[in-house]
Amino acid sequence: MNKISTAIFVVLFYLFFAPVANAQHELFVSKQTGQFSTYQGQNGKTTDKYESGNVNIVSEGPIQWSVTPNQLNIGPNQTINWTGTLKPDVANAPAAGTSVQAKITGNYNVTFSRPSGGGGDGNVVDTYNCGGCSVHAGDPNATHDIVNKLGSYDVPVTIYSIKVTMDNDPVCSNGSVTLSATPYPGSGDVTWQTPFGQFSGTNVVAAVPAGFAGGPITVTYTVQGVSYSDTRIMPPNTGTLQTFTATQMCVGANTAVPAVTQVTFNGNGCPANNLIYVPLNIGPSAMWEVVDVPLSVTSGAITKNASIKAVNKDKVTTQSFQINFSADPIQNIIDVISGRRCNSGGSLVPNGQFSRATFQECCNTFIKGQTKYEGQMNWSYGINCRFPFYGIPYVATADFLCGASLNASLAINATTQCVGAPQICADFAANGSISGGLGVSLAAGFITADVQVVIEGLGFSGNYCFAPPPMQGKIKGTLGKIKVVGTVTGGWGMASYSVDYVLFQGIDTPEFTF
Amino acid sequence: MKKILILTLLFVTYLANAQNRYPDFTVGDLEIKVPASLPGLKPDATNNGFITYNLKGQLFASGQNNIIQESTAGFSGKSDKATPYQTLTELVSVVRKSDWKAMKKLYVKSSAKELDNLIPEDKRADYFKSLNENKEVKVIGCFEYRNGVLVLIENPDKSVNTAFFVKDGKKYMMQRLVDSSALVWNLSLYFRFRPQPVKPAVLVSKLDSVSIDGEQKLIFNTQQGNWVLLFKDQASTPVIIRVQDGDAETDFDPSPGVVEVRLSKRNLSGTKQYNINAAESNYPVYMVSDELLQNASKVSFKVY
Repeated sequence: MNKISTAIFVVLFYLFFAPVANAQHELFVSKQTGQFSTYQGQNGKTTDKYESGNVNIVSEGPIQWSVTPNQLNIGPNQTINWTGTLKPDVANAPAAGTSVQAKITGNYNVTFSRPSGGGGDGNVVDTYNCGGCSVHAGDPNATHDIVNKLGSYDVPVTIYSIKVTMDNDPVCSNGSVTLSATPYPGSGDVTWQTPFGQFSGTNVVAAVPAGFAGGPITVTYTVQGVSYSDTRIMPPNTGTLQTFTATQMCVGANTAVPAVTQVTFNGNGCPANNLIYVPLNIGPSAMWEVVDVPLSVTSGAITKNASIKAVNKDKVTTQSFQINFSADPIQNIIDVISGRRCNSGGSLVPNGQFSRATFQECCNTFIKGQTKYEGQMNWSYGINCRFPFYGIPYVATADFLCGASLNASLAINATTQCVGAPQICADFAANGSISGGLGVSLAAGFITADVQVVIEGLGFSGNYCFAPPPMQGKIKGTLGKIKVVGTVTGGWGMASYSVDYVLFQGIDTPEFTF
Repeated sequence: MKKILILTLLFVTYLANAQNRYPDFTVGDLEIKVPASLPGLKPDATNNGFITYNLKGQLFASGQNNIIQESTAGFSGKSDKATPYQTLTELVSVVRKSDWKAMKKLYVKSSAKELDNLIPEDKRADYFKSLNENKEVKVIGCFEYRNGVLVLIENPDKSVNTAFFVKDGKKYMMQRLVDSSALVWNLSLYFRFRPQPVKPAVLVSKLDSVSIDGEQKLIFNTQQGNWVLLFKDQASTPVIIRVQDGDAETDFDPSPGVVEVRLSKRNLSGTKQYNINAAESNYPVYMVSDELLQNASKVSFKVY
């Protein structure tokens, strides 16, 4: 009952104007045309024998309201359906291009009943036994309160007085006109009416036919059916052809000549006669990398000439080449481990090749020699050596038998670009391995040497830059610890000694370039 | 007659013992400082670049008798086993005879049982042969260790051998030692190398700038057989180059006491000014230590 009763206020007030109940309250008015937007709503209410009320509506600012029927009260056991309208007060609306805040306020006084003890707003003016009504599960002693409630409700509204203004007087330039306007407040549609067609949008570039005789240009701004216009007179085309130039050095694809050239006129800036371009389209030559194309444009009796270069980037010159890979990091590692006992070096076997394709490319304002690098190479490097190491006291001599390999590959598919530094680099995929064995000559009487080599991780990283010149690669390596572990047994005293000998602590090689 | 025989036997025994000679066994306080840069050391407490061991033991100085007497030099074959060296002398004697049973009798019982399993019968000839290649058993010294005395023996190839003795009544008997301690390992290494203090390497060649595609020759004067070490100015990094005087593969100057090192592209990381540390040692050093950094000369040159 409480909710139903509260709804009376709503019915009496803002349900008249259901759209106004939204968060955004905007009304638009055109001081130019007298047009305005509205809010309309309708709703009804049937009261019970305990419900009644009335509302007093007041407004602030340039806003008007109406309700039909114009009865702002309702008695018990009555049904009323209302229709309400909100609209701006055009005469008192603000100047075009500005806005103002307005509002309507409803002050209400309503009476209704609700179950006793349930709480809620309002003053309890009476109590009665509801006679075992259903909300109390048939309790014959249950009572309801008669409640009177006073309050008010505000609906704020922004009144926009719309406007549109052309940013510049429309003038033909180089065969076209730029139409630009600023609407207020901004939402809605902008349309253009011209002798050479209709357009929409706040910024429009429209082609002006040669020999245009002049006429009105009107821009109209419309929001929620409310419109405002601005009209200017555009002068006729009377210009004669003065200059014809290319706007860029070159083209790299089939292109319409007007798109890459510019004409100027004396007079008002647009031709009195049609422009005839020869040729109308240009494109790359199938035979030549770069070709100079003569252009002409004619307007009436006047002809002007220009030229532009057409560049065919598909005319390429290709060379194959290989890279001499550097195995210096792995040689460096072996040098450090062995004390430079592996001077014989390893074998370096290259596979694959790269191609370098050079061609010319049109970068609009300049022509640039470009290079495309493509291909893949693999290198395998192997080294085997034997060198002595020291540090096991019960061993007469110990040789480390070392096998090391490095497999590296490099793949590239990249082209230099018109903009930016010509940086073309690729990372190596490189895997290395080192295997170790021991050749041990034991000290006198030592009869067993159960020792083995433990080698921790080996890795390589690097890259190769094909551009900018000179082409250069960088690679470095990392090797973890190498240990000799096990047991030696024997000697004069038949002892057993555990071996845990760190042959090599690990190394990060410097970065080698090649 | 019986009395005469006994006297005769006693006299013969006296004569035999009278010919036996043993290294003097005298134990005192020892302090041995092992450079932490010695290759192969097991980790142990390091202070100022040295591992210091304070022991009860004995080291033989040059000129002292530290050679174990052989039977061919008059050893009778029997001793009182009153010192570890006496028992060791008996051991050498039975090894020379390849007498497995006699050798086992020199061990405490618990060790003697292990020996048969440790060296099967078919391997014993090889064991004796290996030991007997050592024609002269030279004692480095000894130290008290665990429940006995560990004797260090120098092999002709400078490797180190050991024998462990425990006292059984008045006799020193051999005992098999199973050991993983840093102490024994590190002392054995120390006596293998007998490290001298590291000193700055003496560069005698005049250096000029060199092309990256060329070679930079560095010539050092050293003590014969010593090592020249080249390394960066950063502790705990690997020694980049180590060359031993006279090593045919790495020393490009065969003259004794002269080491020639050649640096090429694979040792140099690019064109720049190089400032390299150089030191000389009588043992190979693998890692850069503070001692090395403090006792290095500077070698500078430009690579273009």
